[in-house]
Amino acid sequence: MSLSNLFKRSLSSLQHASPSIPPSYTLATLRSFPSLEPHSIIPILSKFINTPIRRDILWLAVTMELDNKRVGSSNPPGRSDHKFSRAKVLPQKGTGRARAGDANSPIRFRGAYALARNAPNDFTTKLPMKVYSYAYRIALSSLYKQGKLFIIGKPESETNTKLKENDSFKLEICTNDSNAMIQFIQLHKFNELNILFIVNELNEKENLNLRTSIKYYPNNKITIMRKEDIEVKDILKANRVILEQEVINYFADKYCKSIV
Amino acid sequence: MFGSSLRSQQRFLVRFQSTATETVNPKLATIFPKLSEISASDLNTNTVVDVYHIPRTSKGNLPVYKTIRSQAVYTDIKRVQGDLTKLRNDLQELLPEVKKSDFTCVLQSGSLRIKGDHGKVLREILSEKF
Repeated sequence: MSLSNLFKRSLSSLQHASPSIPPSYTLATLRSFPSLEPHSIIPILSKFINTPIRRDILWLAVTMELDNKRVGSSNPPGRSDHKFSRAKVLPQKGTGRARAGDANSPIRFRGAYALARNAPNDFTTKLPMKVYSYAYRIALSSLYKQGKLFIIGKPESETNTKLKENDSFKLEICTNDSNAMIQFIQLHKFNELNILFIVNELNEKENLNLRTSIKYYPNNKITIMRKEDIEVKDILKANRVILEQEVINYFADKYCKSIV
Repeated sequence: MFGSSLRSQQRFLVRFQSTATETVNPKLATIFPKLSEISASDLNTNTVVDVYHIPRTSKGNLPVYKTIRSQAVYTDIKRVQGDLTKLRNDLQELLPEVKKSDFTCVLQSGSLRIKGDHGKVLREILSEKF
């Protein structure tokens, strides 16, 4: 069998040049808040929000984030700082036992640390931005694929949009009562789930009510964060992510440099 | 530090007062096109079995690499999209002199690892199609 025949056979069922390339765009829903009612659809680049899951890349990113969070405040004593005497514990010769120095030796029980260090200890690690961006896209994709990513945004043509009572296209509610959050959670069956709200800006005008009702919510499973503060781990820890359209635009702008 | 923040403030003021119209970020336009700008084939979700594709790198080369691990040499074909095991089976037929057990599929990263240095042959074979 000739070489070219084999490859032709493997791709014969399709007309395109590169048929197994995944679809280049996927459709996401724009919703209103707090009803999470769908209002329109937008196409989004598949590579950004519908990319195959790579657990190894996620691991790299999360490890880096956690490394960089370490304060490094430990001060383990070295053998010169340790509490015991400098005296030799045994005579050099005649006991029949192995040679020994002082009790501070790191190989002895209750001895000092072999690799002593002083705070602040730097445990930071680095990751290429390309890899970190990829991890960010994978984390968003994993939520999107499971239908756990809710984008709040205004449809482009507003002619036929009928909003429910007290609904809006912004991440804000009409009251700051903590019961509002309880109702929201019960309505969408988000009980016992980690909910993450990502807002474009945290300010008095835009989302004061939402922030207040979250603050007084009985447990700490609901988090509200600015778009700049989000890390890969935050996205992975959340069971549901509710974000504004501006936020997803910001992520696309920041984390798609190597693919667009 | 103070100087740099002052400079960035000035730059912000200039932009704030400018009368230039808002331009669409070309990158964002690619990621979030309008619904009218894409075709149905862009959203094609038909699952295709038994096919694979190997995209070229940004420099236009095939993603075939030689990896050296202390005593052993491997050839890696990376970025394989689609059916990786099908590619392995095809290559096993094309390279009968290589033992079948020397082929390893790494499904997580979409790469095929072959024991030994077969870069030259592989590039010849793959460049016919990809």
